[in-house]
Formats: sequence, structure tokens, C-alpha cells
Amino acid sequence: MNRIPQCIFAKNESGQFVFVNESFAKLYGLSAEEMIMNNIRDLIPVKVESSKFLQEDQEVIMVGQTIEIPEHKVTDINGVERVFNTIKIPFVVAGTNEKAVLGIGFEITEQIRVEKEREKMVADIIQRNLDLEQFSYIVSHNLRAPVANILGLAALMDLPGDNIISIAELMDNLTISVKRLDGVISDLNHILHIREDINEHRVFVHFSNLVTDIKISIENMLRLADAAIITDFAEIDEMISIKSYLYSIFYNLISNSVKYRRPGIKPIIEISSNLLDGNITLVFKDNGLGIDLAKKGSQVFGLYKRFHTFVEGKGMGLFMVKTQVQTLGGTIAIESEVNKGTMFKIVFKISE
Amino acid sequence: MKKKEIPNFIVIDDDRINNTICRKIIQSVAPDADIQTFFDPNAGLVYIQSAYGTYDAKNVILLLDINMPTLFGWEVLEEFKSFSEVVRQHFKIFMLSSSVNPQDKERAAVNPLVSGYIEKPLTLLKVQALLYQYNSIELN
Repeated sequence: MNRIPQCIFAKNESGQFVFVNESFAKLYGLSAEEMIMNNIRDLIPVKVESSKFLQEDQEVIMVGQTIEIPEHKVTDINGVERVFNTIKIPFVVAGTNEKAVLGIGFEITEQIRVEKEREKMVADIIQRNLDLEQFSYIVSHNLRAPVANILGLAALMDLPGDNIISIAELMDNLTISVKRLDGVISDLNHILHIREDINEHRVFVHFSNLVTDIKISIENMLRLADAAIITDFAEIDEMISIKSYLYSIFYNLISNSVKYRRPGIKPIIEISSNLLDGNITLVFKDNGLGIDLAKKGSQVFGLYKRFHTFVEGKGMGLFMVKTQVQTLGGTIAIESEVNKGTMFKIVFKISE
Repeated sequence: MKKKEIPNFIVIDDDRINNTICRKIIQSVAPDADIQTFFDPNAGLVYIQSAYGTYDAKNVILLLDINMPTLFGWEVLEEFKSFSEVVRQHFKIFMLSSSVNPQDKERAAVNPLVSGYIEKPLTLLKVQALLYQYNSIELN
């Protein structure tokens, strides 16, 4: 009984162990002898757990019925949470009147972990699929719009009556439509390129260097807006990644903060990084116009979506940012309040 | 309401070329119709509210694009819904889109504010059908 992997134990009415097998004792880093005739309260460090276990035991003994606890959570000697499928059976210690409880625990920690991982993967895949479906609708819509215009313009030439449209006007509009069509096709190329570029070689990228490079490339824009960029990469300043993607992510988020600043208020962009539990988190915070997330939240990262029309833009920036973050295996979230500012939080896992 | 009335037209679409096409097509079917086009949906809404706030205003066929970069046609409809009955009674709204997303057609079909869905580009036949449908709605 000592050798079987299931955890087996028996406790008397007052909570003292009358039997434990090795698998069970090992959970707490003890030997079987050290546990016998001791109360679980005095043996394990997590008091919330010991009192919960004792309460279960009392219930089993009082009611006299076997209970099954499908996901029994136990903190082991190393402070790691383990999950057991446990049954607790009431019995009377042989040769006495003493009531006791027999417990058999079958460890399912790994199964639960795998199951959770799989659930998360399936949810991710479903989400990616929905995103792709949405993407293809948007792309085909944006391809169809200029095509519909070309068809419409061609039909105008057939209209009865003179001077419906002059040749010059017709040519101008046809040219604009064809250029738009070409624009959508090159955008599409650009986007598809990201998804296949994942094999581009990864190098150490320093966040502070990225910001310095971007500051130089948009120096004019920053000066005209009197924008300040405050960075704090003290905790972590580098990661192994695809440099061009990180550059594009930083570039888009920084230039958005400058473009969508609040008039009359000095734009302040704070960028910081931190390292926690094998995750690198990058935070971009500004004091700009903000976006009404209650109304626009679902569209923030959408292709060809725009929230302000007073400055030039194609509605591609945040779409590209999200695609690049995802391609690098990360996640991005937004918090924003109108006339307060916007914060983007990007998380990359590095614990692989 | 007299028979064969020619209503006013309003087109709201961020695509200026489409607005030009719509104006010329409508003009050639109904040369006397008043046609207003807006590439900024908010400007269109402001105009609607100010020009149609009286009972004696003419009736309007509104052609509304769905995919606009700042405001979806659906959001324009939500705004329109909040207008007074005096304004709303003048309008028959048709969604005008090059969308291939079946969801858009379904949404148009179930929205009580929407009388129909027209695929771009607008053509002579489509405007004639629109006027025919408009007059039969009015006659009922």
C-alpha cells in the first residue's frame, strides 16, 4: 500500500492520523512515522486547508456516508497547489468503537493543467478564426468598394442625355478608384507578409534603443506637438524578439499618442516595462484624447477603423500593432477614457 | 399623399466618388429631386435634424452607407432613432453598401428603421425600383 501512487490516509474523530501511506506523507515532506498520531493542524502550514479537511472529515463521520471531492486542492511542502480526486469513507477502527475516516486521493494536477491549457488554446483558436473571418470580410469589402465605384462610373457613361459627367471628371474619379484598389491590395500584401514573417531571425532588442531611434525618426512631429516621452526600463530593457515588429509596435503607439493628443495640453507619453512571473509587460500611457471604449471598444484594433478624422490616417496602425503582438506570441489590452488618455498593456511570455 | 411623388434624397457615405455617382444617377431619373450628399455622417445627421424638423417638410429617401471608418451606418441609425417623430416621419431609409458580409444584410432586414438594402453601385434600375417601392409604401 505504501508503493501505490494514490494518497491513502486514515484519521480518527479528533483529527489524528491513524494511517498514512508514503505517497501521502511525501506530499508534506514527512515520513509516515512523523505523521501518525499527530493532528493535521500541527503538520501542515496552510491553516485554511487543514480546517477545511477536518470539517470534511467531521461531516463524513457524523453523516456516516462516503463523499467524493472531484477537485480537492492541496498545497504541498513546496507551496505548490496540487489537485486530487478524493473520496472519504467513514469506518470504525477494528476492535474499537472509534469512528474514523479513510481517505483515498488520486492526483489529477497534470490532467487539470492540460485540460485548462487545451481550453485556453481552443478559445484562442476560435478567437483567431473569428478575427480572420472579420478580416476577410473587411478586405473584400474594401476591395469591392472601389470596384463598385468603377462599375458605377462606367454606367454613368451609358446614361441618356448629355453632360451627365465630363470626361475629365470621369477620368479623375476612375484614377482615384483604381489607386484605392491598388492601395488595398498593397495593404493586404503588407498584412499577409507579417503573418508569414514569423521565421525572421530573433535578436536582442533594447527598448531604450527603440525609443531613441523613433524619437529621431519623428523628431519634427514631437517638436511641433511639444511632446515628452518618459521611459522607465529599469526593471527590464531587452527581450529576444523580431526587431522590426517591436519597432513598428513602439512606433505606432508613440505616433498615435502624439497624433491624438488633447489640444492645449502638453502630450506626455509614459513607457515602462516590468518583469513578473516570466512575463514582460510593456505599458504605454498617454494623456491624449482617449477613445470611448463602451461604444468603440470592439473596433479599436479593427482594420480600416478610425476614431478621429481631423488627422490623416488609414485605420491600419492599431490593427498592425495587434497583429504583430500576436505574431510574437503576446497579448495587448487597452484602457481608455475620453479626454483623460489611453493606456496600452502588452504582455509577452518569455518563460519558454 | 399624392401619387408618384418625387421625394428628396440624402446620401451619407464617406466615399465621395460614390456620392458623385449617386447624385448623377438620381438626377437622371428624377431631374427635379433635391439631392444632398454627405461624406461625414455627423454632418449628415446635423442636416437631417435641422432641415426636417417641421411637419410640412418633404419626404426623403435616405441612402446610408454601412462601412464608414469613424461611424458605422448602424450607429448613424441609432442616432437617428433618438430624433423626434416629426423628423423621423419624413424618412425612408435604405442601406447602401458594397459589403459582402451576410451579417450586414441580415441586420438591415431585421432593423425596423430600414426599408431595404441596396448593393453598390447605385444604377438607374435601382433608383427606379426604389421610387416604385417608395410610392407603393406611401400608397398603402
